Amino acid sequence: MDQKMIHLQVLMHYYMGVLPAAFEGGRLGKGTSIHDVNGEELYARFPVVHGKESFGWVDVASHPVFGAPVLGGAAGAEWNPDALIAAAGRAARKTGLRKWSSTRFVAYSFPKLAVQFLGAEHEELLMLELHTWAHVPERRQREADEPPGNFERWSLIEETPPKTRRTNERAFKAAIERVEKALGRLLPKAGAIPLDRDRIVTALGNVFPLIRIVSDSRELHFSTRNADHDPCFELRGQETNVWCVGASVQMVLDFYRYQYTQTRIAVQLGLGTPSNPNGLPYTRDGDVVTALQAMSSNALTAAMNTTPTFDQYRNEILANRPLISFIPGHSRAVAGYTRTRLLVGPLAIITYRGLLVYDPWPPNAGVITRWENFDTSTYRRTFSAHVTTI
Amino acid sequence: MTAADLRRAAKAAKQLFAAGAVEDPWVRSHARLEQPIEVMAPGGSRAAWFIPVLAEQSLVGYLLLDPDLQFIKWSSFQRRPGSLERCPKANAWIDPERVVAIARQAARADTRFGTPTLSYDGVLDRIAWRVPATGPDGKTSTIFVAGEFAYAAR
Repeated sequence: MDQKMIHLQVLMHYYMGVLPAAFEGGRLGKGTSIHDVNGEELYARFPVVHGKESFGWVDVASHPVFGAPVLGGAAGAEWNPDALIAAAGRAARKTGLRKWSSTRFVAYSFPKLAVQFLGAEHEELLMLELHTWAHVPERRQREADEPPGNFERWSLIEETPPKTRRTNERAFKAAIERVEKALGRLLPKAGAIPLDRDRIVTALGNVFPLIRIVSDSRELHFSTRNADHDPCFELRGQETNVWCVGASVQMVLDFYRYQYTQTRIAVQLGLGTPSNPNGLPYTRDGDVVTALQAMSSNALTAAMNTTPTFDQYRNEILANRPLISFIPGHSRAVAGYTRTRLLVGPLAIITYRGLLVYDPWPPNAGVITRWENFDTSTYRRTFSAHVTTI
Repeated sequence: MTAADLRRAAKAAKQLFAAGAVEDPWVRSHARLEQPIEVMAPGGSRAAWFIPVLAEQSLVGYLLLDPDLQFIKWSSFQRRPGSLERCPKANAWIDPERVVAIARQAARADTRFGTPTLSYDGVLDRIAWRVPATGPDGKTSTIFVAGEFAYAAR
């Protein structure tokens, strides 16, 4: 994306309300490149400034792996890359590093950032986590499907499954093309327009009457009929610190009126007992399918999806079926979605996607997250189930 | 953590709250934001900011911001809009003394406890207080406390 397109994308995301309202009146400053562990540029971080005052920043994708051009914005924060590099340099000297040729920001475990110190041949000399200045360990060889650990470097580009990558790359390209097609005439002056709703409306001129913001949401109802009561889903807290899968399975089985205790579900999944519990190893993800089917006497037909897409979540919710969603190191249930689109005429040029997550953590309580930003979260697996009918 | 960090986190949370990050109108009119609490990664780095949202003495939910103050999520303990039923008592999440009292449930008698830090078990979605413990035999361990639930780290 060139600078003009970046400005236009940010303006329209701001207009749509996806970026913080606190940016009102601000302008984009100079962007800083953030690289992937594999060296490719992943995204750029632009400070949002008003004179000398910093309003926050906005992250704009450089790589199509994200599937959407604008990743998000933070209000009330300051992005000062020069100060951060200087602080990183002081921390590097404390480790004994005396000389380096260049530095760059790296998303060593997206979205966590580090500063990488490079030698003359562009080889890595040191990588320090931003702010803590802890030494980021070398890349570790992991088992197939083993999710990364908590403090570990991994490449977002390389670890995004090929199918998801292709889908995202197409979506990214299409998102830019749509804005270009619908609002291309604004591109030459986009850089001069501040994040000011009135100024944006004025700049849109005769395109403005064609603009609509359309939301499309659904939560699980009693049935697919919209008049039936909602939300028809109940949160269950996990009963031990490692029974997130058990609680997620319980929520889905409860929805279909199969009432099992978590202890019984734990037996089925091999999760031990309340006094001696264990989690489900990643090598046994597929056991969830077996458990859902067995515990409904095969009245439910379950399936595992290893490359979850938003459309899959949406289609299941529209069919009034909850899902189990695995993210690295945790499991939750999904009971709704939202999708907000900015349309110019018939063309959706910007889309925000979110999920309604029933999270069994903390134990014996659980929380409901409304909405989890689909485009900035990592999804490992989904499990869906449908009632077997004649 | 400096006072300025805390102020910035509080300001960002206030802006998000005012801008509608919490959709439930009842929460927006009846609840209040408490002081942000730093969420520390096991290595000692800042992993997030936890901003408790309280109504009466109950924890309605919390805003989670990343270290760069970017909004991660709003998570609610409410089962129904406008209801505090099953929302936990706030002090189990925001009062370190209460956190230590809960940690005692998962430790042997005569265990001594250090200062708790808000952290997480494995991944940030599993937010919990990390309480350093020293047993009567001198062995050190960690107790996690998530609300009223306490357990020893493996």
